[in-house]
Amino acid sequence: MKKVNALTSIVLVLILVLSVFAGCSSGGSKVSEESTSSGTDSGSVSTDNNDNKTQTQSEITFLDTMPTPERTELLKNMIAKFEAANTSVKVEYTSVPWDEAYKKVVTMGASNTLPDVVTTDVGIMLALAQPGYAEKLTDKWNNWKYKDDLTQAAIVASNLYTYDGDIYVIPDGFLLQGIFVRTDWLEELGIDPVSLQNWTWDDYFDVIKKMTDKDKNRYGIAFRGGANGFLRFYEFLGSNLQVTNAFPDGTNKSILEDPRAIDLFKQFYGLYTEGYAPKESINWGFKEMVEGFVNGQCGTLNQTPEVTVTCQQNMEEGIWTVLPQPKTKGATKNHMTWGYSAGYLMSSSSKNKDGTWAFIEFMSSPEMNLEYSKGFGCLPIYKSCLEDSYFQSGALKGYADQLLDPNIEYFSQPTDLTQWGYFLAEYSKTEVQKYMSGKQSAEDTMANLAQWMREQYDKDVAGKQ
Amino acid sequence: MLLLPALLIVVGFMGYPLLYSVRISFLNYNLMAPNDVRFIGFDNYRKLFTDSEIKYVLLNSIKWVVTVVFFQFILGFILAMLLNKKFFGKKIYQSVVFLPWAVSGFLIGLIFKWVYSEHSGILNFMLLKLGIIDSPISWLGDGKYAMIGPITGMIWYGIPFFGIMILAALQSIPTDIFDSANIDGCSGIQKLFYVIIPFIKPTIIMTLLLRVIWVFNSPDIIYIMTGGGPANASNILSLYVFNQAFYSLDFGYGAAVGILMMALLVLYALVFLTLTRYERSGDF
Repeated sequence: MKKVNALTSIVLVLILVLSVFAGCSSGGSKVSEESTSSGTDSGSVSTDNNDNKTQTQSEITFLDTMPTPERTELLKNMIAKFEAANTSVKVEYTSVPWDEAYKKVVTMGASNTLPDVVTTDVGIMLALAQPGYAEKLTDKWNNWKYKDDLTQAAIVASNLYTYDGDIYVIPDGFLLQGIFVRTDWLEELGIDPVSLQNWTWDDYFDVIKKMTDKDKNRYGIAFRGGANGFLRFYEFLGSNLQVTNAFPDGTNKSILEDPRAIDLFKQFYGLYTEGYAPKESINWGFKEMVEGFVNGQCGTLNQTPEVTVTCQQNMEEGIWTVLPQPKTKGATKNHMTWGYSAGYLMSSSSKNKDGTWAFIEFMSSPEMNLEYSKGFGCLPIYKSCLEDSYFQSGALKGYADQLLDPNIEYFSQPTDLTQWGYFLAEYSKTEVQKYMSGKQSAEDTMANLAQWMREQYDKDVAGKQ
Repeated sequence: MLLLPALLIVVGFMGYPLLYSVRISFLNYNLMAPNDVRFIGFDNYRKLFTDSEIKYVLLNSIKWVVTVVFFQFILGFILAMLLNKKFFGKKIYQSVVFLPWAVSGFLIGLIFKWVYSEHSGILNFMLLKLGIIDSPISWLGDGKYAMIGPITGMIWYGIPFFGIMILAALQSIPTDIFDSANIDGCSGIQKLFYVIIPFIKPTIIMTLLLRVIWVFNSPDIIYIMTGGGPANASNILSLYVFNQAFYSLDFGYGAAVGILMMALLVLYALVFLTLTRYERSGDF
């Protein structure tokens, strides 16, 4: 009897543990379930229709990865205009929240259920281009009928969407960084915001230090210590070293190993360790940073233009503005990083590539691009649109002028490294947090980060040559 | 024969995914390189045991589980004892105290994140007003304190579970046992240790067993409050696997950590059931 009981307990234990794991894995399987269902919602329709009726009425599927209620409505309006102009093509709209987009879209790629068009950032583009889930758009981009109107920034930006020599995404707009500042704090300090229009990194650091007043619970900067925070240091480093990419020598030696890098690292993260940012900002991501600025705790915020909408809604008028990204003293070129919002990617498994391209082309035309940029709060890719009065006034002017600058040089991200997204979100975050919390020296931190870059370069770039 | 359908369900829905995970853990299986799936032997496990963060994260997991379950159990037990009486408004009171159990972990994470916020949190506000501290403490940004916030959130979340389960068990104790205990002159403490606890022992064992496994596998509150940071100071194994597997899309490595977690839990469950002599504690 005792034996039977013991056996029952063991079986029980196993079932228990298994059921917990089956429960655990539901997160993962949910992704594929969802992706399949939205895939079948729309994807199967286009397959059926395309066999022999392409000319009469074909359907293409469109997945947006950054939906907000306003953006969804905006895109649906644009789709309606496209359908009115192209009666033979019908567009099925679906969306997935940004935080889940990466996992979901990659799973869709792997299960061959990718919609015809997907809005993507570089991370998703890389994940789809490398295994061949994305269609090459190099020829289409090179023969783009609006090419002459594209800003220099947009042309250079296409490098970001390049993998292995081919372009995979048509950029839809710019979300370049700008520095949000509290003008009332500046005035209290006797600094005229207009005098900072052409400011350098040194001026920027100086303003941050002057603004900090812990007794008043004021800090100079809404620091990003959490996921993707490393990008802010990366752009600071690139701008100071005046390089255009992370591996300027064409070897596995990255800019992190430049002799000047360690001092720049200490200078940049000194803003946190020396107390010019709230202590809890070590964990801050996008949302917390914006909150920190909007609620009056922090005096500057390095962010993209869509945040202007949040500021307009939540802050008093006249107490804030946006200044251009600081420049490096004595630099000949104006360096720019992270300058795109996203773009349109075509699935290589699309059954209706002509209809899909017609859609992408329509969505990216100057007229639609202007409408999109105004509605979404990003900056258009065309010169003619940037000269529109909407972008030449208020907080957006700082951004628009940066883009119209012909002396612009792009500092790209090493998108050839397949694990770059992981590096930004996870690896660099943990390493840098160790430094920020005093658990690891700056030298060790930089050495670990540089070692990671070396290994990945050897694997992904040198390994392929 | 009658067991067959149940067995098939267990094998199909649990056994297969499990064996599949075991298989993946021996493969180079990265979604970023789907054309390079190959057998790599124990490489993922080697990486796992040489990962310098794993020990730290494992230790955090143990702290997390022990503290959370201990307090949930004690407070849940007290709650159940208090509710095992008739008093005015009991039903309303009961529904209110059981409420946290119905709230999503993510929402609880958000609420507690606000409570522990350095500058706008109610905790620092109270401590400052009472003169206990001079300047705000960064509860979530300082590695020394980062676990405190998520742990209290999780304790608050799980008390009703123990409350509900233990209350149900308490209500199943026949009243005549208490009558005879009274006749024998038992004190309240004696009744607790010689009547109540032995009687509800199967429930206690089962709830503790389940809760440990659940808490071990519940990173949602930590995810929202600190994301495991700063520098893994509040990271636990389940969140670590999630971040490693999903940001790097290295499912082979993710599966290897998952198998380690399962092995630890199976070991725990066997040791726990043996130590508590579960099979001798009667039916449940």
